[in-house]
Amino acid sequence: MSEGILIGLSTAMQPLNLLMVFVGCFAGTFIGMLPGLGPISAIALMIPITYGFDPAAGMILMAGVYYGAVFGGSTSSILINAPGIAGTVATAFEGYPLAQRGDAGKALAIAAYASFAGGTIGAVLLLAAAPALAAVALSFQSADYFALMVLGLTAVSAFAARGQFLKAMMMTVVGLMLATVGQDVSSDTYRFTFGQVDLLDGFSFLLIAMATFALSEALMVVLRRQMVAPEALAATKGHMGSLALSRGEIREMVPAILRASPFGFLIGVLPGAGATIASFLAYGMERNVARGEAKARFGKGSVRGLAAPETANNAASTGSFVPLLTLGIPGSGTTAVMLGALLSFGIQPGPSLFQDRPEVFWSVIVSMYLGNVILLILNLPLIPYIARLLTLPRQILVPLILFFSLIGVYLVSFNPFDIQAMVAFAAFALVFRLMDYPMAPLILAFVLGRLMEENLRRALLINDGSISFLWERPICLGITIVTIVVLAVPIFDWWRQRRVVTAGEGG
Amino acid sequence: MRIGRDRLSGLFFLALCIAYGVEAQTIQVFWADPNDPLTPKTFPTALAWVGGFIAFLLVVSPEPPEPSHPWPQLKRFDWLRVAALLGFMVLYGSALQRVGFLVSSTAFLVAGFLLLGERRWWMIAAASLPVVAFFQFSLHGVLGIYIADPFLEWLGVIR
Repeated sequence: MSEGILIGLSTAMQPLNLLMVFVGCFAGTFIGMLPGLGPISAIALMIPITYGFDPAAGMILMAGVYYGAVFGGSTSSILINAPGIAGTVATAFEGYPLAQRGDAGKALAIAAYASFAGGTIGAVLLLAAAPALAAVALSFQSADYFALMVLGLTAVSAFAARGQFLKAMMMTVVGLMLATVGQDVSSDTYRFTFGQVDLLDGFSFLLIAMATFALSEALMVVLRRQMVAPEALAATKGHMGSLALSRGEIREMVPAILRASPFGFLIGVLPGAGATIASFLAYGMERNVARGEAKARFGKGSVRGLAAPETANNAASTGSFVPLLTLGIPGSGTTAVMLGALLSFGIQPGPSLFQDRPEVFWSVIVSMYLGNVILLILNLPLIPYIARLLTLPRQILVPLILFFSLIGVYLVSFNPFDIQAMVAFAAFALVFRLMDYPMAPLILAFVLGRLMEENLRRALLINDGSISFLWERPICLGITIVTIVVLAVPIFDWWRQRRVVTAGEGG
Repeated sequence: MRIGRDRLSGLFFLALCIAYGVEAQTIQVFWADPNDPLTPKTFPTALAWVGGFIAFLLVVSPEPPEPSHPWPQLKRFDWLRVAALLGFMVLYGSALQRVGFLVSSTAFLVAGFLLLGERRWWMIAAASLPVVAFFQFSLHGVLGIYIADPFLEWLGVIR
């Protein structure tokens, strides 16, 4: 493993790759700060830029963007109570009250230290977990991969917000349907092309990702009239306060960080969970653990209440790379976009990545740690200046985001049809976002769709056309049982909710 | 039974799944390998059934409680501007190869800025043509990616 770390270090420390980490963190912070635009949009916007890059450099840039976006989301949560991403909603619970009482600098410093600690502990855990899981995964067969993908897609729906399970499942099916458009994976048959030449190759994942995230999120800003918030102007003109923490605050913060790091990492490893759930659970856990005066401070600017979700969301972001790098199966919308990017570089992530392309595998892991260092030493002192970006006029930003999204996709195919298709998908995403349909399951299903069909075909061929592999192979059986449990919880919740509402309607 | 947004969207997806399932039956299957357990039709057919079942559940599920007016917030949304932006994007897609990257992109940006309420001409000028020109120069000159541009070809700037 030490050899791998050295390979990773030597790759990540190359001047160009260091620059990628720096640019990625900065661009990610900026995009993540804009309310409405999350890490998926940030990473999708970077993909066209990385064409022609060395795969390691491209992935390092995107990992930096991911971290930066999570950190940027925290900044807007704390300063203007407008989380840039869902993973930092819990940050606003304690961060915004701290900023309101004039301690914005302190709140940002706590967020930065907690993010750094969470990311660092997460990176150490990743160093240990990823090679171990990759070694186990080498014995996986198509049947196991198929079962794992079903689990991933089920889990991402099961962990969707309360009441959104069916909607998330619906989006998963729509994503899988979109993946079937174009030439069939193993035959020359064309499906759902309606005689259109433009559809023969199917939709590119970048088109779907850009349309359902970058474009629809930018349009949502216009739809909701979210131009510059008055709070943003006030926060950036006002005094940030000191960045220094007292000894008592550090004593309060450290145990929370130590609890939230492994917890967040484990949640991140689970398919479908990710940073949002990790941050909410860590916040809830910390509030339950707190006693007396510390408990009373929750909701009024608690240091541990801010540190816990910030630590957990960064540790979870790191943890979510474990299934991506070792199994080739993304567990979240963000890592699904990363998988798409890796595939466009001609790299198939999975257990063999660890052996075939160790420089990519290890440099991504090492660059995550470097990203954390850069965020701490660079972004923290610069935060008062970076925060001014929050006041950039949206009437300028939105058309530029639309332009770069459209042209990013156009540059892949040079086909204007892709632009028209993007507009249609963006309109679809906009309407269904308003109806509370989550888009992450759609992109995850789209990316996994073809792999899933291919693995199912292979598994069936090996097993004489029978699906008995699902209970005959021990690994498959274990995964199938977990899938059933994951599926049963929201179904039971839905059934109970239905009984309550029906009883209410009846009487 | 009240038809709210969940049931309405459920009906939409039910129709979509039925249409998808019907279209899936038209997929040609070449029986070169009769032992192949998964034909190009199998997976889409299964998806149509699963999707149809989920959509059906959405339709029969109770609607979450809503105020007297179904979507009161919809009125406050800026539908007109979003529709205009979608229209601009369609136009941009159509003009890109006919007019060229530089002119169509600049026009798209200027139209977008104006639509969203930007009135400072120096800002509009600074954030449109120079951005597009720099981007195109980076593509051509640095990355070696060629974008056909009839206007610049006519001017003789690129060949």
